[in-house]
Amino acid sequence: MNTKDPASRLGLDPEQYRELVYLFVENTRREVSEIKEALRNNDLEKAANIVHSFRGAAVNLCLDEIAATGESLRDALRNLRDLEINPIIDKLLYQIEELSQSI
Amino acid sequence: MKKILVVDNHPVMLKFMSDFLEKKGYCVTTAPDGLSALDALTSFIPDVIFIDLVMPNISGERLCQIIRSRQDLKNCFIVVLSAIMAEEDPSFDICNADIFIAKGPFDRLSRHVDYVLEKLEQGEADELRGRVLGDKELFEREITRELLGSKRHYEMTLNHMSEGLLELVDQSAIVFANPAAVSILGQTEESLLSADFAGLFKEPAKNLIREKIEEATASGKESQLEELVEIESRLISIKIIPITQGDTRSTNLIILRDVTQEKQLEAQLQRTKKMEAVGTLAGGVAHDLNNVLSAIVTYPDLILPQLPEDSPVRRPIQTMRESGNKAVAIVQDLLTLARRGVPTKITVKVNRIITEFLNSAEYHKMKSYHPNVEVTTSLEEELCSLTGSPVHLSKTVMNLISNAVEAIEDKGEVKVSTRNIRIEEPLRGYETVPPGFYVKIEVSDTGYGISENYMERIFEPFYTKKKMGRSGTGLGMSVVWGTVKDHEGYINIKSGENRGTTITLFFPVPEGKAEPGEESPPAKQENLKGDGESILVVDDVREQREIAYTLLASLGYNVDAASSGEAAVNHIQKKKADLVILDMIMDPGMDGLETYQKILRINPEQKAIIVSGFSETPRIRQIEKLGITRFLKKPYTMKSLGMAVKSELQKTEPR
Repeated sequence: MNTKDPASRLGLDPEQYRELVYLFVENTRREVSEIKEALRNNDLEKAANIVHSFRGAAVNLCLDEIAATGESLRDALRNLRDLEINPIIDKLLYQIEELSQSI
Repeated sequence: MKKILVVDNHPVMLKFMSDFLEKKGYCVTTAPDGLSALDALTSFIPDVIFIDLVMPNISGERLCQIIRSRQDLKNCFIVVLSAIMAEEDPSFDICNADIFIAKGPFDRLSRHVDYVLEKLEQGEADELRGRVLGDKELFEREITRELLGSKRHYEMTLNHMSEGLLELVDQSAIVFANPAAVSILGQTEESLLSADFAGLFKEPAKNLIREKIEEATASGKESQLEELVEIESRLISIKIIPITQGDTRSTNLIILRDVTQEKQLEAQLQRTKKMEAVGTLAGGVAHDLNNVLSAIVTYPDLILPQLPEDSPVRRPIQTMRESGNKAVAIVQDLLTLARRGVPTKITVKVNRIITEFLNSAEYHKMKSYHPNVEVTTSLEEELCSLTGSPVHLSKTVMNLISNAVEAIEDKGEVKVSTRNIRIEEPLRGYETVPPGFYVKIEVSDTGYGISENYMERIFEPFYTKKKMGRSGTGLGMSVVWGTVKDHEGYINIKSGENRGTTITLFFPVPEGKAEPGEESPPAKQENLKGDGESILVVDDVREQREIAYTLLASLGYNVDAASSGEAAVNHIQKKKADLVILDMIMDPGMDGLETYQKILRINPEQKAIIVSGFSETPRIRQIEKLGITRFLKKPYTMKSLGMAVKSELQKTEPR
């Protein structure tokens, strides 16, 4: 992943940006597990709050693709499109792993 | 250097803000949720607080409200830092924040933060208040309509349930309290949130609660505290439900139930049951004693007039009569307690009863032993009349005033008051008085008071702190209880050792019945002698027949006697009687009611008096319907029997 461009766009030095992205990856992995568990417990509010949380952080860091996936997940939850939820989560996990690899 | 607190559940945001602000020279503390923020705020008073809205445990909105309620944080400038509008209403009134910054890419966010801090440094906080920075990046809460709907549903349930519900994290800190919990625990929601739940209680309850929560958390099973615990004078039961959601922090739900009223009602019910049982026993004893006492009380009246003034047996017989009369008083009290005495329903003026007692020789005699006790009255002029028994109400007033005077060892004051009173809400006390209109009689003293242990037993027969035999029958307060219950009233007691006592009686009356009632005039003492009228005495107990026969004969009546209801009916078939004196309970065979029913078939105009010391209320009510209005209690004296017979014979109106 090219950290130089987004870092400069956000006014951060690349190392600082890398550190924040690393933190984001670690946290999102945990949050995805929490979303799955919240859905198992039918706790839609908790799931929605977590989606809101990581999507917000993705926007903060200009991680546009992940933010877009977060938005899809939000829409699926909003419209209770159960069948779409798991594939979106899988996509999110893939993107997170890709991001992790890139830093 | 300004001190700043940043509260956000996302570590990326905390890290960014922390680095960004520290680089600018601020002293920064961070907290990952509302609860941790409250922890930090116990020792750190920041100048500026950045708060995210959506956070676990205590939400940002709630945290803002708590901060605003704290006096020591009143100068803090609150910046809400969020990507969403406030959940249902983005107004600052709800959040209590000073300014709102929309979260977005860090470059824009940092510009807004810079701007705010610069303005604050320049002392231009007022320019910032109420503004929303970066509102294009704000979007409404991303939860579904269904989600909000179900959330409202749950909130409604939580807000209206009678049980208190708390959510605890880390086995101690309260992060949620529904309105019932706030009310039960007697504290504001702000002070409850983040407080240590067990710490709200005193020892030993505090430790018990901690242990139980630990136990429930470890086992993962819900658990009920076996003991009830007390807080703010309320008794509460506590149930602990551990929640396992894979979170690293333990969560417990606490269900609180206020059982104060339930326990009070249980105690009242127990007290009533005990008094009923004692009453039944007392009633049975009284019935037997009445028959036994008849001879002791009545024969002296017959013997004494025949003895010469200097007879050596005159004094012992007088003593026998006096003792007999004392025993009769005890039996009458026992009957009141049994609450099965002959019912009397006439109009009674309570003020007159009080005044009469305070003018009586009995009161002045008692008062002479307590010269330093001042008795004052405050009687409502237009006091409603009661319908009931003047004899029992008199005894009640007498017992209350006597007890109050005797409770004062030397100098003191007794106040007697009456009032018409309307009770709007249930009045909780020794008993719960339901809403309604009442005549209130209150007697208070400045005496030695009643200890809590004694209070529970105050109405039990012969349970007294006074020396037995010195005054009264040992049944004074039992009579008060019986009378109040007979009149469908309620009792309240306020007392404490060396703090005096106030006893309040509430007698229900129909609202608006403030017209002074006419009390039935007391029977006049007139010539008891008869004029040869024929009287049939019906009693299954030989001694009773003999006593009645002898007394009535000595008064100049023509007396016949029958030993059973059947014999009485046979007698009436053959020989007319001007009056029948009927014992109510006869065994075996017909009782007074059945006998009278059969006599009425022979002579529908037959006058009769019912004699009983112990009568079953339903049977008495039936006999009243047949027209009998005069009842004579056993044991009777020459005077009471003579007056009853005379009055009934003189009665001219149809039955």
